Amino acid sequence: MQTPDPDVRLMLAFRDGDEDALAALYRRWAGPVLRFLERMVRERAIAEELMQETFVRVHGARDRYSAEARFSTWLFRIARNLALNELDRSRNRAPHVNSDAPDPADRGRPALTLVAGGSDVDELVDARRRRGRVEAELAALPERQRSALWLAAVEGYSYAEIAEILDTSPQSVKALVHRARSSLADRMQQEDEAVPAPPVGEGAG
Amino acid sequence: MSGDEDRRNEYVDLDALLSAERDGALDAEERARLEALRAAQPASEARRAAFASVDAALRDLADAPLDARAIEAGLAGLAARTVARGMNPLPATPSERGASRAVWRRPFVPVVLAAAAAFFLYLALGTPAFEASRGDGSPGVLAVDQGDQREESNLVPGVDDEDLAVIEALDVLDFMAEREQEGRG
Repeated sequence: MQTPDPDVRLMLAFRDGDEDALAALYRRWAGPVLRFLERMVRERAIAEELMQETFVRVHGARDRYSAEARFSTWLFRIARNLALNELDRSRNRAPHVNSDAPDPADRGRPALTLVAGGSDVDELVDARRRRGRVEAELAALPERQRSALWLAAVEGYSYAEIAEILDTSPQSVKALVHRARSSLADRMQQEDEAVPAPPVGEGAG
Repeated sequence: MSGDEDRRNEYVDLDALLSAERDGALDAEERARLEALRAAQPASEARRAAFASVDAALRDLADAPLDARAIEAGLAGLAARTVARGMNPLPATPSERGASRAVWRRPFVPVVLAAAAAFFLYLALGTPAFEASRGDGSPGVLAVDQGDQREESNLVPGVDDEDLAVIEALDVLDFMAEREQEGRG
Protein backbone atom coordinates (compact mmCIF):
# COMPACT_ATOMS: atom_id res chain seq x y z
CA MET A 1 0.00 0.00 0.00
CA GLN A 2 1.42 3.35 -1.07
CA THR A 3 1.68 5.84 1.74
CA PRO A 4 1.17 9.51 0.86
CA ASP A 5 3.72 10.81 3.36
CA PRO A 6 7.06 11.06 1.52
CA ASP A 7 8.93 10.96 4.80
CA VAL A 8 7.27 7.69 5.71
CA ARG A 9 8.35 6.29 2.35
CA LEU A 10 11.90 7.40 3.04
CA MET A 11 11.87 5.84 6.48
CA LEU A 12 10.51 2.59 5.09
CA ALA A 13 13.23 2.67 2.46
CA PHE A 14 15.81 3.17 5.19
CA ARG A 15 14.30 0.27 7.11
CA ASP A 16 14.68 -1.86 4.01
CA GLY A 17 18.33 -0.98 3.55
CA ASP A 18 18.50 2.32 1.68
CA GLU A 19 20.97 4.25 3.80
CA ASP A 20 20.67 7.36 1.66
CA ALA A 21 17.07 7.66 2.80
CA LEU A 22 18.15 8.51 6.34
CA ALA A 23 20.45 11.19 5.01
CA ALA A 24 17.53 12.68 3.11
CA LEU A 25 15.42 12.68 6.24
CA TYR A 26 18.23 14.28 8.20
CA ARG A 27 18.65 17.03 5.67
CA ARG A 28 14.95 17.77 5.82
CA TRP A 29 14.34 17.57 9.56
CA ALA A 30 17.57 18.44 11.36
CA GLY A 31 16.77 22.15 11.31
CA PRO A 32 13.19 22.00 12.60
CA VAL A 33 14.10 19.44 15.26
CA LEU A 34 16.99 21.59 16.40
CA ARG A 35 14.72 24.64 16.63
CA PHE A 36 12.21 22.72 18.68
CA LEU A 37 14.84 21.31 21.01
CA GLU A 38 16.40 24.70 21.48
CA ARG A 39 13.07 26.00 22.74
CA MET A 40 12.76 23.09 25.09
CA VAL A 41 16.21 22.99 26.62
CA ARG A 42 17.10 26.64 25.99
CA GLU A 43 20.75 25.96 25.26
CA ARG A 44 22.00 25.63 21.72
CA ALA A 45 24.84 23.22 22.42
CA ILE A 46 22.60 20.83 24.30
CA ALA A 47 19.93 21.12 21.63
CA GLU A 48 22.48 20.17 18.97
CA GLU A 49 23.56 17.17 20.98
CA LEU A 50 19.98 16.06 21.48
CA MET A 51 19.21 16.57 17.81
CA GLN A 52 22.01 14.21 16.85
CA GLU A 53 20.86 11.72 19.45
CA THR A 54 17.36 11.90 18.02
CA PHE A 55 18.59 10.68 14.67
CA VAL A 56 20.73 8.03 16.29
CA ARG A 57 17.55 6.76 17.89
CA VAL A 58 15.82 6.83 14.52
CA HIS A 59 18.69 4.82 13.10
CA GLY A 60 18.51 2.33 15.94
CA ALA A 61 14.76 1.92 15.63
CA ARG A 62 14.74 1.27 11.91
CA ASP A 63 13.75 -2.37 12.20
CA ARG A 64 10.86 -1.56 14.53
CA TYR A 65 9.50 1.34 12.51
CA SER A 66 5.93 1.03 11.25
CA ALA A 67 4.11 3.69 9.28
CA GLU A 68 1.25 4.31 11.66
CA ALA A 69 1.62 8.08 11.76
CA ARG A 70 3.47 10.85 10.08
CA PHE A 71 7.20 10.37 10.31
CA SER A 72 7.70 13.88 11.69
CA THR A 73 5.25 13.20 14.51
CA TRP A 74 7.30 10.18 15.53
CA LEU A 75 10.52 12.13 15.13
CA PHE A 76 9.39 15.03 17.29
CA ARG A 77 8.13 12.63 19.89
CA ILE A 78 11.59 11.07 20.13
CA ALA A 79 13.14 14.53 20.31
CA ARG A 80 10.78 15.69 23.00
CA ASN A 81 11.36 12.62 25.13
CA LEU A 82 15.10 13.16 24.91
CA ALA A 83 14.63 16.79 25.88
CA LEU A 84 12.46 15.85 28.83
CA ASN A 85 15.13 13.43 30.01
CA GLU A 86 17.69 16.17 29.71
CA LEU A 87 15.52 18.62 31.60
CA ASP A 88 15.09 16.06 34.36
CA ARG A 89 18.84 15.57 34.56
CA SER A 90 19.60 19.26 34.66
CA ARG A 91 16.68 20.37 36.80
CA ASN A 92 18.91 22.54 38.94
CA ARG A 93 20.71 24.09 36.06
CA ALA A 94 19.78 27.75 35.56
CA PRO A 95 18.05 28.18 32.22
CA HIS A 96 19.85 30.17 29.60
CA VAL A 97 17.98 33.37 28.96
CA ASN A 98 18.92 35.49 26.03
CA SER A 99 19.27 38.87 27.67
CA ASP A 100 19.93 42.12 25.94
CA ALA A 101 23.61 41.94 26.80
CA PRO A 102 25.69 40.17 24.17
CA ASP A 103 26.24 36.56 25.16
CA PRO A 104 29.49 35.01 23.95
CA ALA A 105 27.84 31.61 24.15
CA ASP A 106 25.02 32.79 21.97
CA ARG A 107 26.64 31.52 18.86
CA GLY A 108 24.87 30.27 15.82
CA ARG A 109 22.20 32.92 15.81
CA PRO A 110 21.96 34.85 12.61
CA ALA A 111 23.53 38.26 12.81
CA LEU A 112 21.20 41.19 12.61
CA THR A 113 20.69 42.10 9.01
CA LEU A 114 20.13 45.67 7.98
CA VAL A 115 17.06 45.86 5.86
CA ALA A 116 17.49 47.57 2.55
CA GLY A 117 16.28 51.11 2.87
CA GLY A 118 18.28 51.98 5.99
CA SER A 119 16.36 50.82 9.06
CA ASP A 120 16.75 52.93 12.11
CA VAL A 121 19.25 51.60 14.63
CA ASP A 122 16.72 52.15 17.38
CA GLU A 123 14.27 49.90 15.59
CA LEU A 124 16.84 47.17 15.38
CA VAL A 125 17.68 47.54 19.05
CA ASP A 126 13.99 47.43 19.89
CA ALA A 127 13.53 44.33 17.77
CA ARG A 128 16.43 42.64 19.51
CA ARG A 129 15.07 43.58 22.91
CA ARG A 130 11.63 42.34 21.99
CA ARG A 131 13.07 39.08 20.79
CA GLY A 132 14.82 38.66 24.12
CA ARG A 133 11.58 39.35 25.98
CA VAL A 134 9.63 36.86 23.93
CA GLU A 135 12.30 34.23 24.48
CA ALA A 136 12.22 34.83 28.20
CA GLU A 137 8.45 34.67 28.35
CA LEU A 138 8.38 31.53 26.26
CA ALA A 139 10.99 29.93 28.49
CA ALA A 140 8.89 30.77 31.53
CA LEU A 141 5.92 28.78 30.26
CA PRO A 142 5.35 25.24 31.51
CA GLU A 143 7.03 22.76 29.18
CA ARG A 144 3.85 21.28 27.74
CA GLN A 145 2.40 24.69 26.96
CA ARG A 146 5.67 25.79 25.43
CA SER A 147 5.98 22.68 23.29
CA ALA A 148 2.34 22.74 22.20
CA LEU A 149 2.46 26.40 21.21
CA TRP A 150 5.75 26.07 19.37
CA LEU A 151 4.60 23.05 17.41
CA ALA A 152 1.34 24.75 16.49
CA ALA A 153 2.42 28.31 15.81
CA VAL A 154 5.91 27.78 14.37
CA GLU A 155 6.07 24.24 13.03
CA GLY A 156 2.45 24.20 11.87
CA TYR A 157 1.35 20.88 13.32
CA SER A 158 -2.32 20.10 13.79
CA TYR A 159 -3.70 19.55 17.25
CA ALA A 160 -4.07 15.85 16.48
CA GLU A 161 -0.41 15.58 15.53
CA ILE A 162 0.70 17.55 18.55
CA ALA A 163 -1.44 15.28 20.70
CA GLU A 164 0.54 12.31 19.43
CA ILE A 165 3.83 14.02 20.15
CA LEU A 166 2.79 15.06 23.63
CA ASP A 167 0.92 11.84 24.32
CA THR A 168 -2.34 13.56 25.10
CA SER A 169 -5.66 14.40 23.48
CA PRO A 170 -6.38 17.04 20.81
CA GLN A 171 -8.72 18.79 23.24
CA SER A 172 -5.91 18.99 25.74
CA VAL A 173 -3.61 20.41 23.09
CA LYS A 174 -6.20 23.03 22.23
CA ALA A 175 -6.28 24.10 25.86
CA LEU A 176 -2.48 24.04 26.18
CA VAL A 177 -2.00 26.18 23.09
CA HIS A 178 -4.68 28.61 24.17
CA ARG A 179 -3.22 29.01 27.66
CA ALA A 180 0.28 29.50 26.29
CA ARG A 181 -0.74 31.98 23.66
CA SER A 182 -2.94 33.84 26.08
CA SER A 183 -0.14 34.06 28.67
CA LEU A 184 2.31 35.41 26.14
CA ALA A 185 -0.19 37.89 24.76
CA ASP A 186 -0.98 39.18 28.24
CA ARG A 187 2.67 39.51 29.24
CA MET A 188 3.70 41.15 26.01
CA GLN A 189 0.87 43.62 26.39
CA GLN A 190 1.87 44.38 29.98
CA GLU A 191 5.45 45.01 28.93
CA ASP A 192 4.39 47.18 26.03
CA GLU A 193 2.30 49.25 28.40
CA ALA A 194 5.17 49.48 30.87
CA VAL A 195 7.61 50.87 28.29
CA PRO A 196 7.76 54.63 28.80
CA ALA A 197 6.60 56.78 25.92
CA PRO A 198 9.44 58.43 23.99
CA PRO A 199 10.22 61.97 25.15
CA VAL A 200 8.62 64.85 23.32
CA GLY A 201 11.03 66.65 21.00
CA GLU A 202 13.02 69.48 22.67
CA GLY A 203 12.57 73.08 21.89
CA ALA A 204 8.85 72.79 21.60
CA GLY A 205 8.29 75.33 24.20
CA MET B 1 -24.05 37.48 39.16
CA SER B 2 -25.08 34.97 36.57
CA GLY B 3 -24.80 37.71 33.97
CA ASP B 4 -21.18 38.32 34.98
CA GLU B 5 -20.55 34.63 34.90
CA ASP B 6 -22.09 34.31 31.47
CA ARG B 7 -19.98 37.19 30.19
CA ARG B 8 -16.88 35.62 31.71
CA ASN B 9 -17.66 32.29 30.08
CA GLU B 10 -18.24 34.02 26.78
CA TYR B 11 -14.93 35.83 27.07
CA VAL B 12 -13.07 32.62 27.81
CA ASP B 13 -14.90 30.89 25.03
CA LEU B 14 -14.14 33.69 22.58
CA ASP B 15 -10.48 33.74 23.63
CA ALA B 16 -10.13 30.01 23.14
CA LEU B 17 -11.89 30.17 19.78
CA LEU B 18 -9.66 33.02 18.61
CA SER B 19 -6.63 30.95 19.54
CA ALA B 20 -7.89 27.83 17.77
CA GLU B 21 -8.77 29.90 14.73
CA ARG B 22 -5.10 30.81 14.31
CA ASP B 23 -4.28 27.12 14.06
CA GLY B 24 -7.08 26.31 11.61
CA ALA B 25 -8.62 24.08 14.24
CA LEU B 26 -12.25 25.22 14.23
CA ASP B 27 -15.05 23.04 12.99
CA ALA B 28 -18.15 24.54 11.38
CA GLU B 29 -20.05 24.85 14.63
CA GLU B 30 -17.16 26.54 16.40
CA ARG B 31 -16.65 28.89 13.51
CA ALA B 32 -20.29 29.95 13.64
CA ARG B 33 -20.03 30.52 17.37
CA LEU B 34 -16.88 32.57 16.93
CA GLU B 35 -18.54 34.80 14.37
CA ALA B 36 -21.50 35.35 16.69
CA LEU B 37 -19.25 36.25 19.63
CA ARG B 38 -17.11 38.47 17.46
CA ALA B 39 -20.14 40.38 16.33
CA ALA B 40 -21.20 40.85 19.93
CA GLN B 41 -17.73 41.95 21.06
CA PRO B 42 -16.03 44.19 18.53
CA ALA B 43 -13.10 44.65 20.92
CA SER B 44 -12.20 41.04 20.23
CA GLU B 45 -10.34 42.28 17.18
CA ALA B 46 -7.60 43.61 19.48
CA ARG B 47 -7.25 40.19 21.05
CA ARG B 48 -7.05 38.55 17.64
CA ALA B 49 -4.27 40.97 16.72
CA ALA B 50 -2.47 40.23 20.00
CA PHE B 51 -2.50 36.51 19.22
CA ALA B 52 -1.21 37.20 15.72
CA SER B 53 1.56 39.27 17.24
CA VAL B 54 2.53 36.42 19.56
CA ASP B 55 2.75 33.98 16.67
CA ALA B 56 4.78 36.39 14.60
CA ALA B 57 7.17 36.93 17.50
CA LEU B 58 7.58 33.18 17.90
CA ARG B 59 8.31 32.70 14.22
CA ASP B 60 10.94 35.41 14.50
CA LEU B 61 12.64 33.28 17.11
CA ALA B 62 12.89 30.38 14.71
CA ASP B 63 16.41 30.59 13.35
CA ALA B 64 17.10 29.99 9.73
CA PRO B 65 17.38 26.30 8.86
CA LEU B 66 20.84 24.80 9.15
CA ASP B 67 22.95 25.66 6.17
CA ALA B 68 24.14 22.93 3.84
CA ARG B 69 27.60 22.75 5.35
CA ALA B 70 26.24 22.36 8.88
CA ILE B 71 23.89 19.64 7.71
CA GLU B 72 26.65 17.67 5.99
CA ALA B 73 28.82 18.07 9.05
CA GLY B 74 25.92 16.81 11.12
CA LEU B 75 25.51 13.81 8.86
CA ALA B 76 29.17 12.97 9.23
CA GLY B 77 28.78 13.26 12.98
CA LEU B 78 25.75 11.00 12.89
CA ALA B 79 27.68 8.41 10.91
CA ALA B 80 30.47 8.49 13.49
CA ARG B 81 28.00 8.06 16.33
CA THR B 82 26.28 5.07 14.77
CA VAL B 83 29.62 3.37 14.25
CA ALA B 84 30.65 4.10 17.82
CA ARG B 85 27.42 2.50 19.03
CA GLY B 86 28.03 -0.63 17.02
CA MET B 87 25.22 0.10 14.60
CA ASN B 88 25.47 -0.46 10.90
CA PRO B 89 27.43 2.55 9.72
CA LEU B 90 25.98 4.93 7.21
CA PRO B 91 27.95 4.16 4.03
CA ALA B 92 30.07 6.94 2.62
CA THR B 93 30.46 5.58 -0.89
CA PRO B 94 28.20 3.75 -3.32
CA SER B 95 30.46 0.70 -3.16
CA GLU B 96 29.79 0.46 0.57
CA ARG B 97 26.04 0.65 0.16
CA GLY B 98 25.90 -2.94 -1.01
CA ALA B 99 27.46 -4.00 2.25
CA SER B 100 24.92 -2.36 4.47
CA ARG B 101 22.17 -4.83 3.98
CA ALA B 102 20.22 -6.89 6.37
CA VAL B 103 22.39 -9.61 7.91
CA TRP B 104 20.51 -12.48 6.33
CA ARG B 105 21.13 -11.01 2.89
CA ARG B 106 24.86 -10.93 3.26
CA PRO B 107 26.73 -13.42 1.09
CA PHE B 108 28.86 -14.89 3.86
CA VAL B 109 25.85 -16.10 5.84
CA PRO B 110 24.83 -18.90 3.47
CA VAL B 111 28.50 -19.77 3.03
CA VAL B 112 28.90 -20.13 6.79
CA LEU B 113 25.69 -22.13 7.01
CA ALA B 114 26.83 -24.39 4.21
CA ALA B 115 30.23 -24.86 5.84
CA ALA B 116 28.61 -25.73 9.16
CA ALA B 117 26.24 -28.16 7.49
CA ALA B 118 29.11 -29.81 5.60
CA PHE B 119 31.10 -30.09 8.78
CA PHE B 120 28.30 -31.82 10.67
CA LEU B 121 27.67 -34.07 7.70
CA TYR B 122 31.34 -34.94 7.65
CA LEU B 123 31.19 -35.86 11.30
CA ALA B 124 28.02 -37.87 10.86
CA LEU B 125 29.48 -39.92 7.99
CA GLY B 126 32.55 -40.86 10.02
CA THR B 127 35.68 -38.88 10.57
CA PRO B 128 39.26 -39.72 9.83
CA ALA B 129 41.45 -40.38 12.83
CA PHE B 130 42.12 -37.35 14.90
CA GLU B 131 45.26 -37.43 16.84
CA ALA B 132 46.04 -35.11 19.61
CA SER B 133 49.73 -34.67 19.38
CA ARG B 134 51.71 -33.17 22.16
CA GLY B 135 54.78 -33.65 20.05
CA ASP B 136 57.67 -31.79 21.38
CA GLY B 137 55.78 -30.13 24.19
CA SER B 138 54.33 -27.38 22.09
CA PRO B 139 50.87 -26.58 23.37
CA GLY B 140 48.02 -28.59 21.95
CA VAL B 141 49.01 -29.25 18.40
CA LEU B 142 46.27 -31.25 16.85
CA ALA B 143 47.11 -33.30 13.85
CA VAL B 144 44.34 -34.27 11.46
CA ASP B 145 45.16 -37.42 9.61
CA GLN B 146 43.83 -37.17 6.08
CA GLY B 147 45.82 -39.89 4.42
CA ASP B 148 48.98 -38.43 3.02
CA GLN B 149 48.04 -34.93 3.97
CA ARG B 150 48.28 -33.71 7.47
CA GLU B 151 46.97 -30.47 8.72
CA GLU B 152 47.77 -29.12 12.07
CA SER B 153 46.23 -26.48 14.14
CA ASN B 154 47.13 -25.15 17.51
CA LEU B 155 44.71 -25.66 20.30
CA VAL B 156 44.76 -25.72 24.06
CA PRO B 157 46.19 -28.99 25.37
CA GLY B 158 43.59 -31.54 26.32
CA VAL B 159 41.08 -30.63 23.63
CA ASP B 160 39.99 -33.75 21.81
CA ASP B 161 38.25 -34.12 18.50
CA GLU B 162 34.77 -34.21 19.99
CA ASP B 163 35.39 -31.00 21.88
CA LEU B 164 36.80 -29.44 18.75
CA ALA B 165 33.64 -30.18 16.80
CA VAL B 166 31.47 -28.67 19.51
CA ILE B 167 33.68 -25.62 19.86
CA GLU B 168 33.67 -24.94 16.15
CA ALA B 169 29.91 -25.36 15.88
CA LEU B 170 29.39 -23.02 18.82
CA ASP B 171 31.76 -20.50 17.33
CA VAL B 172 29.75 -20.48 14.13
CA LEU B 173 26.50 -19.96 16.02
CA ASP B 174 28.00 -17.21 18.20
CA PHE B 175 29.34 -15.46 15.17
CA MET B 176 25.99 -15.55 13.43
CA ALA B 177 24.19 -14.31 16.53
CA GLU B 178 26.67 -11.47 16.88
CA ARG B 179 26.21 -10.35 13.34
CA GLU B 180 22.46 -10.50 13.71
CA GLN B 181 22.70 -8.38 16.85
CA GLU B 182 24.79 -5.81 15.00
CA GLY B 183 22.20 -5.72 12.31
CA ARG B 184 19.51 -4.85 14.85
CA GLY B 185 21.58 -1.92 16.00
